[in-house]
Amino acid sequence: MTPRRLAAFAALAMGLAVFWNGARHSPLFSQAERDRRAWLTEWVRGDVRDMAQEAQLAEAYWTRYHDVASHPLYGRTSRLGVLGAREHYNQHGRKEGRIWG
Amino acid sequence: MWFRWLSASLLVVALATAALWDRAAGRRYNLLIISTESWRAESLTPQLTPAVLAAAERGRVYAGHRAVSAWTIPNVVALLTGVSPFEQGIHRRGDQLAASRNVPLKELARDGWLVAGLQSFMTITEFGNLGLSLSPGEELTPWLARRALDGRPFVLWHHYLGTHLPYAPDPPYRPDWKALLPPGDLAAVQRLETVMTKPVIPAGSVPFQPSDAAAITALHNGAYRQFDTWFADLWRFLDRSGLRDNTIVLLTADHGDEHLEHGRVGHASTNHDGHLHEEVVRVPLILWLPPSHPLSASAQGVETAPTDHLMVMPALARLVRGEAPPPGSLFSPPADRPWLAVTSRGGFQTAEDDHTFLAAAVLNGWKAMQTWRDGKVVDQALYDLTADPGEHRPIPGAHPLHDVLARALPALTPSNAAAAPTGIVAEAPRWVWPAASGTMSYDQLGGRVRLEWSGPPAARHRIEYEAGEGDSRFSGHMDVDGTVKDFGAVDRKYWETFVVPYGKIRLRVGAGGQWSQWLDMRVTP
Repeated sequence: MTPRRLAAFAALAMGLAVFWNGARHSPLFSQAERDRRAWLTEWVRGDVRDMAQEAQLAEAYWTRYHDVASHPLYGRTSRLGVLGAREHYNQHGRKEGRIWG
Repeated sequence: MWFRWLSASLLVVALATAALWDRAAGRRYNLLIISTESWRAESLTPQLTPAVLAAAERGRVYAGHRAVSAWTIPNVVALLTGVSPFEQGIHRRGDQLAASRNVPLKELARDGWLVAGLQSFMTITEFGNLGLSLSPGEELTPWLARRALDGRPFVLWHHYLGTHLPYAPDPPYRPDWKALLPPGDLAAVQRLETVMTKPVIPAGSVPFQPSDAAAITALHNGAYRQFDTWFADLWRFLDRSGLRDNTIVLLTADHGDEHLEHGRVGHASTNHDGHLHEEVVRVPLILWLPPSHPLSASAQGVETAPTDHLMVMPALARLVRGEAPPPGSLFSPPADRPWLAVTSRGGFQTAEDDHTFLAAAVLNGWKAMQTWRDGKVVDQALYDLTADPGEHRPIPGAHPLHDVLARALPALTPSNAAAAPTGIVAEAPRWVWPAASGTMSYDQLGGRVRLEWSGPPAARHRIEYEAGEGDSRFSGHMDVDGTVKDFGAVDRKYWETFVVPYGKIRLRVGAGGQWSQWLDMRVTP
């Protein structure tokens, strides 16, 4: 194996090792991480008395404000799910004069 | 051949970039600042705070820490900004930090941190201009759980209120306080019942006796034990949620509290005759860095060098970025710099025409005090803290620390009262909720305190309030943009502990010089 190939192989191996080190802690590969996120979601839901009503309010908020509905942090497909709409309202919407629900 | 080289190179570059990006993102740590109300340094014991001490084995304990004032607001402002109470311009109700001042929390908010406070009382004027984004009434751990899920870096200030006067821990934590009083002393029982029911006890209003001190201390200790249980739950949550892996936690107190050591109970805002003796200024401070932090190995053990609230935020503002704190902050406290503190006499309750201040300095075991009135030194004292840690035997004569204090007097920034709203409105506001004077109970409110009035939605309004009667009476104002003041969810204990004892509250709202009718509300459980 030539020195150039050896160097390329080493660099590639190091890059892969670093990448794998990060990936194995992601929800994609880590059961512990998936469990942690599920527990957190349950914890958050415990704060919302009526999830069905919360979902209705969130949908109304997203329908009224399309920019929020498509927002990566607060939108329909965000990690916060139904709670993203209320989170947006609490953090930004109230100050911006938006209407909740 | 060239294609394979190009592919391999691109892959390496992509992976390295991803790794570096991840590493850079990992350098943004969360920060949770917990200030505990009226928490005395010597109460950090295995008997009273076992959970805090157990957690402290993984953090750094600052055994020589002091607050820098005798009431909550200047101390919290010092903690959150690093600005000295000599420079804050906050001496009484209605004062706030100048809006033009650039403070670390504003910088962190600009750099992407969510800088928040969740408690309703944080919406008062006096906590303005600190860089906090307030979500009043949100619960602490669900909010933290959301941050753990969305991954957005945050700075959160939480203030534990249950250790403030009245000293009324829940039954499981309540001591047999009557057994600590002289047998059959019904007057002593009445005095202690005041301590268990009143958030404010002006000096001289209750004829306390030295024999009351043990029961007062025991009741406050019960409140500390209850705090420890709360902290244990929070610590378990931080561990379970994974937030301990990327969150810096700082636990301290706003100030201590007096248990009759110098004839009073409480601190400046509660006894209206504050001072800076050790029981009021010596407070615990513990810092935890997450294991992944580059400086986590340095944040272990006990630091005995003197530290104070001013050293906190300069250190934290660097630590959240994964950087070393600057010299002179928590990680390298200077040995030769005197500790300086100042307080108005009545703290939050200081009258507009009271220009009396108490200042103190400590260096190498000596403590100097001065009383300033209308810009002049009117009294001073000196204590040897080694021989007289309780500060009961003032030493005659002057000390160089008195000169240090006298030089600080001209630099004391005058009150920076929040400016009254300006502008023109067509008509005086009218109350929408409550619509008329009457009774306000917790159940009527449904656990949420909200005021609403008529007027231009974009106008800034001022609410003036008066609460209580006699010695407990106080008044103030708060400014609101719009026509709703939403204090958010308020729990029943807060309502019954800090609102109901005042009995009645008067409110009016105005804009452009036009005022609503006064609302006279009787507050009941």
